Amino acid sequence: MIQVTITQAMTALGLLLAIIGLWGILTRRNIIRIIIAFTILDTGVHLIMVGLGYVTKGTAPILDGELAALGTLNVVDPVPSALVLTAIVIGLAVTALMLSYAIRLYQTYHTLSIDEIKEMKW
Amino acid sequence: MVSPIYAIAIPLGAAFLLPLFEKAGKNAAKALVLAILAALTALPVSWLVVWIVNTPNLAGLLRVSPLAVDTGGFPAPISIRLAAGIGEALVMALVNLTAFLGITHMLVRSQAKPTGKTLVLLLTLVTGVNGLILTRDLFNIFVFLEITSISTYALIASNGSKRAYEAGFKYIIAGSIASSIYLVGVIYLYRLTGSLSLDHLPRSGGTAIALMLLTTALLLELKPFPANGWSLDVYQAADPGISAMVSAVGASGVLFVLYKLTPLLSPTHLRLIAGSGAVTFVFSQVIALRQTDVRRMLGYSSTAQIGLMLLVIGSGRGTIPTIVLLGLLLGNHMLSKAGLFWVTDLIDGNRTIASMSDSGSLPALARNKPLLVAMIGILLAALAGLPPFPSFWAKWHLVSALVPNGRWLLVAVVLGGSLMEAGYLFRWFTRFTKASEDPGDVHQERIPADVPVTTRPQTGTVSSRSGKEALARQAASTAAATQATTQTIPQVVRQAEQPVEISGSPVPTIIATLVLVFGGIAAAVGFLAPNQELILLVPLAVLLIGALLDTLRIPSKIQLLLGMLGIGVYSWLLLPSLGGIPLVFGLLFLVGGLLQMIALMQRKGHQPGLAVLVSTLLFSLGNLLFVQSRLGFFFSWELMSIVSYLLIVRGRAASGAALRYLMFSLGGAYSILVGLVLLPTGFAPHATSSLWAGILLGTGFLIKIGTVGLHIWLPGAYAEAEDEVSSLLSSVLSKAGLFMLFTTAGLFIQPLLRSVPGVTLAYLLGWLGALTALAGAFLAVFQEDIKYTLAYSSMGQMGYMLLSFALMTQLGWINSMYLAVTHLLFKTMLFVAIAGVVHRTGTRLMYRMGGLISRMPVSFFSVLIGIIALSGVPPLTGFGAKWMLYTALIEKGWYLQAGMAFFASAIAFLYLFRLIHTIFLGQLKDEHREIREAPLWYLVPQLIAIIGIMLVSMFPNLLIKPLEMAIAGYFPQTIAWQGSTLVSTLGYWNGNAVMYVTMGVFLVPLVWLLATRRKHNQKVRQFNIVYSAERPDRPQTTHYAYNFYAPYRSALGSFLTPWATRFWKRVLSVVRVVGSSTRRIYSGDGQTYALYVLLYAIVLMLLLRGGN
Repeated sequence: MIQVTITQAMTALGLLLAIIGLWGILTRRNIIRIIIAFTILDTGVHLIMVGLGYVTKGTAPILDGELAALGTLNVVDPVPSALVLTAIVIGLAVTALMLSYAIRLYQTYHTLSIDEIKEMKW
Repeated sequence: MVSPIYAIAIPLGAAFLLPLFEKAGKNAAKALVLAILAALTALPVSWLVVWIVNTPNLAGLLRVSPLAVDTGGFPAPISIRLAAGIGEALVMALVNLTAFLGITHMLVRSQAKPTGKTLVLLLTLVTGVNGLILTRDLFNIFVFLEITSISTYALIASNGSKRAYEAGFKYIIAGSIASSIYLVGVIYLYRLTGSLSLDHLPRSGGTAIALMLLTTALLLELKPFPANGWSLDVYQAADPGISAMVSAVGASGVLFVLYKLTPLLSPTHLRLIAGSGAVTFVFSQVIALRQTDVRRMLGYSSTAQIGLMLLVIGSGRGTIPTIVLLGLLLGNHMLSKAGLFWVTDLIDGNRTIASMSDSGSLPALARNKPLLVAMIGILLAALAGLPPFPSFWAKWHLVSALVPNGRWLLVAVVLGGSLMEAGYLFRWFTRFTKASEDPGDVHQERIPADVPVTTRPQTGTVSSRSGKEALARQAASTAAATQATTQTIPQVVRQAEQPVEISGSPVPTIIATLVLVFGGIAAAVGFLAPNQELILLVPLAVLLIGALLDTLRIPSKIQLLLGMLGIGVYSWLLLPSLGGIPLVFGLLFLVGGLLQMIALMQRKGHQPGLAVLVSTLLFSLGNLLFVQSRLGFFFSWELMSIVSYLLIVRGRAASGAALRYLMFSLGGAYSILVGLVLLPTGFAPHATSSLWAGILLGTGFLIKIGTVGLHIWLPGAYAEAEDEVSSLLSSVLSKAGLFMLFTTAGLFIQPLLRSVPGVTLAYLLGWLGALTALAGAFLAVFQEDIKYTLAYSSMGQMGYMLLSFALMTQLGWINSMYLAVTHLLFKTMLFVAIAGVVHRTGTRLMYRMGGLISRMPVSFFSVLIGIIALSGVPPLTGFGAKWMLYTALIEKGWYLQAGMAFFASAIAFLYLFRLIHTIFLGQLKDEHREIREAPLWYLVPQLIAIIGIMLVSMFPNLLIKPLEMAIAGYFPQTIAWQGSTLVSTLGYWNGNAVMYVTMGVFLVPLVWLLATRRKHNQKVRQFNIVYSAERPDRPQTTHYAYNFYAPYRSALGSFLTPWATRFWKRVLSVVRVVGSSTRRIYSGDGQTYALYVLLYAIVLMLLLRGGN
């Protein structure tokens, strides 16, 4: 039987989400759906990040008695978690900005279909 | 020194506090922002100053230990380290200076001033970029990347236009995919190495894919072709102030991050970066050629410039450190591109003026705001990499790093792309400089219908009127038509002048321009000083002084006198130190140039740029005489090209011709650049070297000479330039290429193939010379426009010089220089005399002249002497030249070439005869009955030249003996002197005797005719000739001088097909088609752009696998 670690499973799941997100960005015509696809992509990437730092049966990286007992090798790596927190915040900001763009685009073009928003080219 | 942390903390803190300051008053907030940016500029400058003071040389400066700060009190891998070395300080100073100028520009412009929110966003943008430059932590880079991106996304939307929203949204989609890729890359790198610190990451092992992900993401932020559709929309749609920030400030931060990453990257990564940069550079330039919207064109130029910098990053290891090269290119790009975006903002009063197709208002702008247009010219020249601007030096060092490594494809990309860039940038510039009646595409002569259709007489009335009456009426109508045209021009001007208003203050742009100029001069000093060649900067000094005098509106006469004085002193100091061939050409350039300047004294009032450009041109020609280093030569050569372009573009309908001249000159200069780099021993006279160096250098010089096939620029440039300037170009400037051929002659004597020792480059040059002589003569014959005739005639004469030079014998070289000197004299006579005729008659079409001998006798005499000297009939100098040419050709055994040269001379008689016959003989036109002799200032140089020609004709040894001495030692002696008689192996030539015999042959029949046939002579008057009862509606069609040699034209048939013109047109159309079809990929669809981004990333990853 193939052993699947949590890290591998989460990476696979994250990749799947990322691909779904990319597929959504490339195929959906509605701007709101594109934005949702973007958040899926973002979540996938975050999942990959968190998964990479995970240590099976490890403990939280908090300096307490349990840490002393288990030793530093069995602590979940705190860096990816810290990174993910930052990335989530940034992702949120970008999503908010995209949504406000969507509102503006709807106000000026009176449509949310990205097909109809291509005034500039070449 | 002040810690780098403040570069992030201050703007970030201020961004948050700004709303509070706004409560205190709008101006308080604005003042705070500007003060902060000024401080941020001063900060890195203070580091630089300390370092420069403490270290003696550049090498030490590059090794200076960076100023590092570990945040949070922990050492580096645990905390985030900020570090500022010399590169960081340099780029930070540039970024913050540009941001300071950019925000100032937006604050002082008259519309769309930034609100408090915009200022906050601008501050966060600056924070992000400073962070990108300083931080040494990969994840921190991500954070600053996002700060930069998010503030940019928001800034794009700030002008509230529909298009800006569209562009911004496309940008967000592309940008968010890029940052996802970056995140995945960071986390994998962390997984593999356990570190995020640039200083602690291992330099090798297993990280190729993770690093490639990072690289790909950074490249995507840098708008690589084809994944850059969104960025072009941003440049086009956003507020130009914001576009300038995106192009100059935002991109610089990301670019620097990529540079910081290079120590970690493998050669494969670097190759991919260089490759992507090269592809972006060349395709962006090709597509930019097809743009009609100036801002989109500048956008393409921006992506191209960043591509060039990627190429530098990827293929570093040059003769100078990559960071210096990058600093030069980056600084140049930032200031010039931002400056140009601001300019489009300033002149864009009615939102159409910045369009390429807008022809009316730009020239009006040039008349009203000449300084603004001069500034645009400077910015464009800097962007196009012309001397002395920083990118010029970068281009030289880039090519000299690429060529020895055999990276020919990259060399071709860099130079080809630069050429295209210069093309579209200066095409825009010509829209400003051209006169409103200039159609902009004049390269060939144009023959207007000279009687307007409306004045055509009724057919019924013709018979009832006498010929005399009709003719008088016709003359009156022609005069009226001429008056009408002169009156309509000011009307056009007045119409166009209304919308010219600049919206805002040009001060920030002026500062950017000045920084560029001084940066360029500093770079020039830095690069020329090691070779002790600072004297080469004299032309630049002249240019600056002249520009100052022009700004003060000093009259041109005074400026010219100053220029002549300067050149006189310069010659006095320089010429005695020269000897041999340089001395001959020194006299030709400088003394010949002085002769030309006399004619310019005729100009009245203040002629902006005229005196300064002519003086600068002569000084830069002077540079060529003594320059030793390759770089110094290339600098002088390019300077000469750009100055002569600016002189030509002054002509009334010369914008198209000048652009063509510039393109060919730059193409030639780039060919020379590669050739110079190939010279192993450096640029020294008579260096022997590889075949390719010879071919490339030769091509460059031949372009300047205008040999057949490369002559496309020549007729337009000579003919459409101002009349006196044409004389300067033809008689002085054209010799520059010849001089350089003499200087590098050693390159042309090796056999092309070992098996055929006789076929050398010189042999090919000989054929080219003969063909050029023939083609020039043929083309001159069929022109109606007198200046085109003279232009082609110059081309033919240069062909003889080239043929003589290529002989590589003593007599050949003597004759080549003899021709050069005499050509200077007789072309001065012809061109200046014709300038006088055109000045008086107001037309250049020969069939509209005639009989001017009675009104302009001195000009007639001058042209007569000129054509005799040119044609090679005894007794004047041309005879000697022909004698020497045929002797030398026969001695060498080049019989076919001799035949061709002889045939060409025969053809030359045709156009020379037409010149004197059509203009000065025949019937005087009604409207010319009252015209006077040419102005005195025109006559003086002609008389001097006539005296020169007469002296040399009578005493050829006056000229030939010094020439013989000049080339003494190069060749075995084949000529000898007996008194003043020149003896060759085939015969002898005595100038005195020839003169006396010819005079006798001419005078004896003349005296006899006058004495015996006097009473039979009758003067043919105008109305002795009638129109055979016909009344032509196009009078020129019945004029004997119109289409004078029509029978020859039909006899020659397909020989006259303009093959070369067709070839170059084909080249241009191929480039255009490539541009047009390539830009179709930018469909405007945001999702397509996202797909390109993804595909780009995938292709790079695949290439990485393939590369390993």
